[in-house]
Amino acid sequence: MSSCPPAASFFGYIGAASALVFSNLGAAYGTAKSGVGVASMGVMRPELVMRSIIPVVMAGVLGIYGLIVAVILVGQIAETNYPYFLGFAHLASGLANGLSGLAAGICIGIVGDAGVRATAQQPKLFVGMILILIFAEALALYGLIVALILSGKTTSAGC
Amino acid sequence: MSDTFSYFNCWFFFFLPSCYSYWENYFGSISPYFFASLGTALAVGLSVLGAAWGIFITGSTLVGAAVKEPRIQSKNLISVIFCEAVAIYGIIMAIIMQSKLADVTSPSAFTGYGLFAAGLTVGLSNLACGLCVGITGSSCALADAQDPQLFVKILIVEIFASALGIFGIIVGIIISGKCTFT
Repeated sequence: MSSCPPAASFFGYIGAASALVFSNLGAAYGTAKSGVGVASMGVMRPELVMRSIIPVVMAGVLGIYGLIVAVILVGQIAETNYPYFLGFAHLASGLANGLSGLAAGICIGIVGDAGVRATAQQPKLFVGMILILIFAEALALYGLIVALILSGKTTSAGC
Repeated sequence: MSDTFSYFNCWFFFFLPSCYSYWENYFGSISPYFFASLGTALAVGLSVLGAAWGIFITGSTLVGAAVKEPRIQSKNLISVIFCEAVAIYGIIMAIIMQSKLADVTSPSAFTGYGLFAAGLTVGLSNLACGLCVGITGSSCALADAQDPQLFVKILIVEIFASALGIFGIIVGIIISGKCTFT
């Protein structure tokens, strides 16, 4: 049975913060990188712009994942009966979701940028680009799954 | 010989279980007001940094592209306004957080850590959002200069980018709501 020092809530809060911050960094990279690609190819093929917003939407979803995990974690951090066990579990939960979202956002950005530019020149590549983006989005989903499992840890410690 | 324990090793082997009490005392003796105040400062400081970064990226592209196409400058100021909104999120959050700072005899560490995390969340989220809106806004100006019908379509990408700052301030407000010193 671990102890309940006040420092445990520090780690829990840092977990909640990192869940959102790293996911937002990944979403920002994905949105910016693929947005520049969309604008560049839209000059030549304006009719394809609305289909090419798909990488931007998928990058935005990463921010939603971070928001979900951060709100769940903040709801569980408490001043009393909060041992190191829960503090470090919530830190791990936030880092798992956040760093996965960062990685997936970088991936979606680079693939989306190259994909929309290539799809403008060869329309048959659209389905292939979507498939690669789905694999990249699944990486963030793995982080979300682990984060939700870790945030569901409970303890019967009374201190 | 064995009743005195040297904590010198804890500086190198900080993961040893015998070092927990040393680091707890070290960490726990930092006043919670440090964390709360630093969080308030980071909330506005990092948000303004992100907004400034975005504004200079968008603004420099805008004036460069407007040399040949002066018509774009009035419509594309909206990208600069999106970046400025990121700084507004930061100052709103900092004003909410500073109203929680109250001088009490024994401040709770829980509140200090919470305000630190809220400030960090809002600040770093707005930093990312400001950068993203800036880069997207600059590409929007360039596309608009070539083809006017592209402006509204690329603006949709910018709206997705500015949603990231909203996520940060949502979590910041939720955390600040839990924290009170008095």
